[in-house]
Amino acid sequence: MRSKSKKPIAVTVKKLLTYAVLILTLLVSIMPLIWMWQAALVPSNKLNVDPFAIPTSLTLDNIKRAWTTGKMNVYMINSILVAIPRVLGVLLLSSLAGYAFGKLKFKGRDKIFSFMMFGMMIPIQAMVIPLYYNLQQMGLINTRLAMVIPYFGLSMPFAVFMMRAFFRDLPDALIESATIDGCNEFTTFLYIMAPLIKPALSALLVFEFMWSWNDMFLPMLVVYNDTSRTLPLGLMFFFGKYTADHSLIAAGVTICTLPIVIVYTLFQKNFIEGVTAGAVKG
Amino acid sequence: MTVKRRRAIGKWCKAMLFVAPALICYIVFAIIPIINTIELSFYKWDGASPIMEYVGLANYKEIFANPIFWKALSHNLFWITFTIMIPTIFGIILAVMLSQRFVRFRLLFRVVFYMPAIVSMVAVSVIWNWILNPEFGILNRILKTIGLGVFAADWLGNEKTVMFALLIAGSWVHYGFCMVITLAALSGVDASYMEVAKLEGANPVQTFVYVTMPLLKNTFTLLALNSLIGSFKVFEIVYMMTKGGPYNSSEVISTYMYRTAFTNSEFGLGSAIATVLSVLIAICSAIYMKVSEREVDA
Repeated sequence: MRSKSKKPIAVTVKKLLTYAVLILTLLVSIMPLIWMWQAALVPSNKLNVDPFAIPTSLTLDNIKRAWTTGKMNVYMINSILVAIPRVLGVLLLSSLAGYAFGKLKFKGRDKIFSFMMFGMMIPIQAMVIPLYYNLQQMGLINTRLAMVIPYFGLSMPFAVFMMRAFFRDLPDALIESATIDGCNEFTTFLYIMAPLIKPALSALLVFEFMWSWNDMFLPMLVVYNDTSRTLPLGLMFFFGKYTADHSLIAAGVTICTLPIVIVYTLFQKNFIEGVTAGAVKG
Repeated sequence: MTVKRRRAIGKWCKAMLFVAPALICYIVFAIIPIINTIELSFYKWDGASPIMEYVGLANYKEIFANPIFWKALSHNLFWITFTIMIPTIFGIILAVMLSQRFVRFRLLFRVVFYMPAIVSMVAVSVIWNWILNPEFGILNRILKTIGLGVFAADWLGNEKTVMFALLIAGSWVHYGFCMVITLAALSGVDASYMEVAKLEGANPVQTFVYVTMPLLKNTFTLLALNSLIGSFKVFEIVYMMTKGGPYNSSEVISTYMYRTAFTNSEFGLGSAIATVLSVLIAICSAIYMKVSEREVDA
């Protein structure tokens, strides 16, 4: 009898506690971002008085100022022009290789694959010094290309790993029937297999895009002039140059974060799938 | 025999057409630079002069004799301990809470919890620089509002608090990831094991102790190793927020390496630091891969 009357209270307390923790974490997760976005929309004369007050009037002036005077427009275009070729290149190279590792049988396959996986264990710090000099010899310092082509190699271990895992799970019978129908290896890949791994491709796409969009370490070393800076580099430069101009910094952060937050919200399923595939399988 | 062999070679060549582009890029942009870094670590070089002086193991000796290296390493170890204790465990707790049957708006919670992880570290650093700012930072203002004004501090400017301040920013980015991984592990169990446990007549407590806990133990090991690797690599947040200062009190190995090579132009020494860092990470990664392989097989 007693336990029966006690149970609902315990359940309610448990529910309340759970929701309290979840909602508090929700606020902790999003409030810092919202503060920044809000600070970007508050007129700058009001912000400098009290950077965290509830806004009474909103303006797009700061965003406009960051966009033009702060050259965020240039940085944004650079970020896009770096991300597109980087993502497409990595997707193409890794899906080709992933197909071969996952579905074709050839001598030395597993050895070559292990050799590629070795790269996952090495941090970028171990490669940047020679990479810097190689890019310099190729005359690519201060170009967008310097932030793209190294990743055709650096991103490969993870990308190939992921692609192989998905290709491997496709049934062999598909290849057999495609061969009977007159497909060669390449047309089988293009028309039969590649369409089937769309979920994997989109997971890798959003991931590689995010890494490219947020990348800082290598870009910071190989690009230091205004015309090639991407958003993170621009923001870093911004932060040093306009330290006292809080409105401009907040606007910079907003321009840098809002696009990726929107992409994430739209493709959250792919993001989560990508994280899970990457961590649990690898 | 020859026909068979020729066919095998043909097959190999065709497969290579698929593999070669990725493999060549990987060798050119990852493997060769690694070899060059190791090579460079045996030389003394300022990055510009045509002369590179071979010094053997002198660079390594210099690193191991330098107190800043040990300080940096201790900060990495501190970072590892803290990251495993706070965001990892917190992420697991969040996942367990979220997967309770009565929880509504699960998707909203999940999406928002992971949001800090997708934002650029540069932006994260700027945001936390503001929050921790001694003059207008929200943290000090909250402390003052709730009557704890005496604890208000210059979080990033003080040698004693700077690591904690950085770690809070680092944790903010990390718990979402830990939650996502744990959720994936839990959802795999919900479907099958839970049913079996129920059929076997286990009560909820028994199910938690005998089914969920062992599973969380594996997930914890995986996440802890992942945090271990990530903690050795940490760079952006430290570089952006403190540059390793004040007085090396937040120096980590990668900022130390960056400064040695790219600010002080001691590329041989920098390469030696990078090599030491890589060996540390490679060991952790090898263990990680072994553990996660066992995960998949299990």
